[in-house]
Amino acid sequence: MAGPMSKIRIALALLGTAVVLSACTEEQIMPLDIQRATIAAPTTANLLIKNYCPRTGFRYLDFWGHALSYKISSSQILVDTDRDGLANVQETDPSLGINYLRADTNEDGYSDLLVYLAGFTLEAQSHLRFCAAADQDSDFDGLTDCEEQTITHTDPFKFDTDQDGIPDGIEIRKSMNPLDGADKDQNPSGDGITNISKVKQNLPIYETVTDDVKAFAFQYAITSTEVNGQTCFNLRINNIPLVEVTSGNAVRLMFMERQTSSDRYALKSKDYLIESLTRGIDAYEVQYEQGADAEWSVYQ
Amino acid sequence: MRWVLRNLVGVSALSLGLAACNSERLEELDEIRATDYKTTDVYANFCTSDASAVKSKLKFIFVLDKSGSNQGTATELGTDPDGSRRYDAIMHFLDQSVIPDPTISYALVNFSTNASRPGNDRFIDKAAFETKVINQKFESGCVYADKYDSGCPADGGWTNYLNAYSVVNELIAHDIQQAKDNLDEIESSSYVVFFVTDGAPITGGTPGNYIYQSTSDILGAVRGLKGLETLGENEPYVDIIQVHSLFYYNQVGDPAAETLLEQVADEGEGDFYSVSAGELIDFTRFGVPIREVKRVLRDVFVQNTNTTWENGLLKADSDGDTLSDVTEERLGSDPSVADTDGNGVDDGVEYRTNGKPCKDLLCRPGSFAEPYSSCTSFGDLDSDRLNDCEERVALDSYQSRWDSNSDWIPDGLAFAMYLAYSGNAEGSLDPDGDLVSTYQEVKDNTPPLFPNGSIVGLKQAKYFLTVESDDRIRTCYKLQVKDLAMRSDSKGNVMADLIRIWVVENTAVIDNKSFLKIAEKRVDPNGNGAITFERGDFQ
Repeated sequence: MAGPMSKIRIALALLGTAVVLSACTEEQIMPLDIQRATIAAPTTANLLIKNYCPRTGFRYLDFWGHALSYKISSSQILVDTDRDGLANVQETDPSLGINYLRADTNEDGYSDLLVYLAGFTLEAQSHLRFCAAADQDSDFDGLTDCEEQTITHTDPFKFDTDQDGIPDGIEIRKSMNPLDGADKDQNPSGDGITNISKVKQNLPIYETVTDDVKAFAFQYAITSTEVNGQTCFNLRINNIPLVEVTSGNAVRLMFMERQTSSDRYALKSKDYLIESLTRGIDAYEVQYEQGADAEWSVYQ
Repeated sequence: MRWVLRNLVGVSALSLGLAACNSERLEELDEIRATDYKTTDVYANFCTSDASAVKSKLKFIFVLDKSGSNQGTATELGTDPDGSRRYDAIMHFLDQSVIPDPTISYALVNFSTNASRPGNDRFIDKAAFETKVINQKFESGCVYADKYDSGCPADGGWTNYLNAYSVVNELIAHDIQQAKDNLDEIESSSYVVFFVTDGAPITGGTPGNYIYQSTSDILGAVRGLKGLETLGENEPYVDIIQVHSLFYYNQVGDPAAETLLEQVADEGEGDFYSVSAGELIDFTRFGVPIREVKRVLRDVFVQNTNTTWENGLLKADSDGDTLSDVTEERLGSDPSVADTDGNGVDDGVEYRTNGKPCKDLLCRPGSFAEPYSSCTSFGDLDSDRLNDCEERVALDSYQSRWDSNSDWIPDGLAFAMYLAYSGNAEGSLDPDGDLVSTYQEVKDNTPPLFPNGSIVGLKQAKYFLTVESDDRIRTCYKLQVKDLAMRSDSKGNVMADLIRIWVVENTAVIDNKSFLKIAEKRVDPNGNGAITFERGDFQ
């Protein structure tokens, strides 16, 4: 019973590989991203965020990239077309009423991910509290206020309720507990990589990571630079696996800051689409934009 | 070079142990040197428990306003003169559940001026209503229960919200206490309160000059209801308490009352609806708790119950009472009987709470005496492998919570590793300074209170976990644990050690509840030394 030595596999579109669509709408009939096939090594991309400067009065705390277009499970890369945190193959149970093209299939403010994680049947979903503002996510943590109030019981205005450094929405995507700060340092699968490291590297939590899987870990590099006399940073994520997915490869970037003079924490979350698969360039460069204050979620 | 250094440290640690030993212990030292461990490989197939596998009850509590405004006056039309709006709505709601579900029950609390006065109720089928609205023989606080079979009245006069909430509070508290009195199993419940009124919280005065109950008092009372979820040791018995509110009126609403009721619903994690004249009250519009929620794996621990760490030395513990055989011989208790004096409390628990493994100096069986005679129950309500008497009387941990200090290490496992089972969570600490957290050491089966680097040839249990399948109902795993330390006999053969697997699950959504299940099996000394658990082995 040696460990599984199977190569990591990557999901391929059923129909050809020539066309990569940048957007996926309901009307289009999409090839099923459900089919899986083995390839030796997927294309990877490097991403460089240039000139990231913490906001005035805040200092750099952490920077994360979260892969939205796939997840790794059972030593396979599984495509997630609607980026809801569930692989397409997980969205096939008819009793749940979810599908792989829409993140919140019935638009009730409770995403497919939570429906799946909770095991809600369609009948059970009809008993959920009515959600007046289905899109409202006050703290930008990736969970709607309704989800936080009714289902996860996290704080809708605090992006990291248990203050373990992992935003609530990411904990839910990883099946971690957003109400328990101790789980960040644990390692249920016994491979020596703590949960928080796995989350940052986009590795599965409840599975022992083999070297084959580890080869697809996000790699971070940070270098400081000076912009107008201020200490700023160039943030780099290398080795982002790219999958053949009709909706394009998306990565959620999260910038976390802490106020220098108090215990206030700030989060900015932004999704990027890596549209081109052009080879031969070192990194896709993105100029960092601080954005208006309204783009930041702050809690004390 | 590094190895030599470690070896030296190890030797000094060993000789330190030797200095304090008598000859009996010297013998034992030979047996338990880390380099001489036998190990086994443990294989297990297990799944997270099906959500439906756990009993969870649900009680609906209808709180109905019976104030005079329902009947109306000569000049003003009543909001519900014949009771049809309120009571028919309940009947309609009850009729929704076609299949009788023994886990669902109903209660009715009438409140306001006419609550305790018979009549003014309207039931299409009174007998059916009384059959369905059960749990009315509730003594405390419900003084009229015997007199009036239509429910538990809260007759504080006028439209006294606070009075109604206090009756609901007592009703739920009473229910929880009944569940707690059952020492055979833990049954948890969800409580859904429908608070239905046609008026503002008025307790006196005259038109234009009414006396109102304050918003903060009312919200405080709702918070008090919610507080029952975690009060005392309630947590294992309560899934959620939800307070919904509904305002019904004739022609003109009451914006102030409606705003207040909306706040009540917010505070109570419920919904609020307003129902105008001619509109039916529909209780099915409220979101109610979902009792079947999928579990996710939190962690899994493998333990050999027949070994125990003592000062960096892994020793044989034949009876699994956490005292090693040599220690038991030294203390005078029987190494092969977990509870030598048979007083219901294991030798290990007695030793660590009283400094001796038995009440009696000679450890005679049958000395069933103080301090444990106060125990009435020796079952293990929370299944954490510490019995209720041990937890309640000796250890001061919770008999109803398998993880008394919320560190995600089950009490029985924490106890076996000589860690805090109650009080502060210490899982993330590293008291022995070997840079491996206490939690991780429990998982690895290394000593949390002795630096790993000082132990020659220390073997840590290595886990290998893979997902076999995953769906709406459950996730299934395959687990392999290599190098779990074992006892060995004088010929160096492995013995029939009892291996225990602790699977910790939680619902990360809905109610943040945690669950424990355990499997135990003995190693077959004549087999290949490996042991395999199947799904059916987990309880």
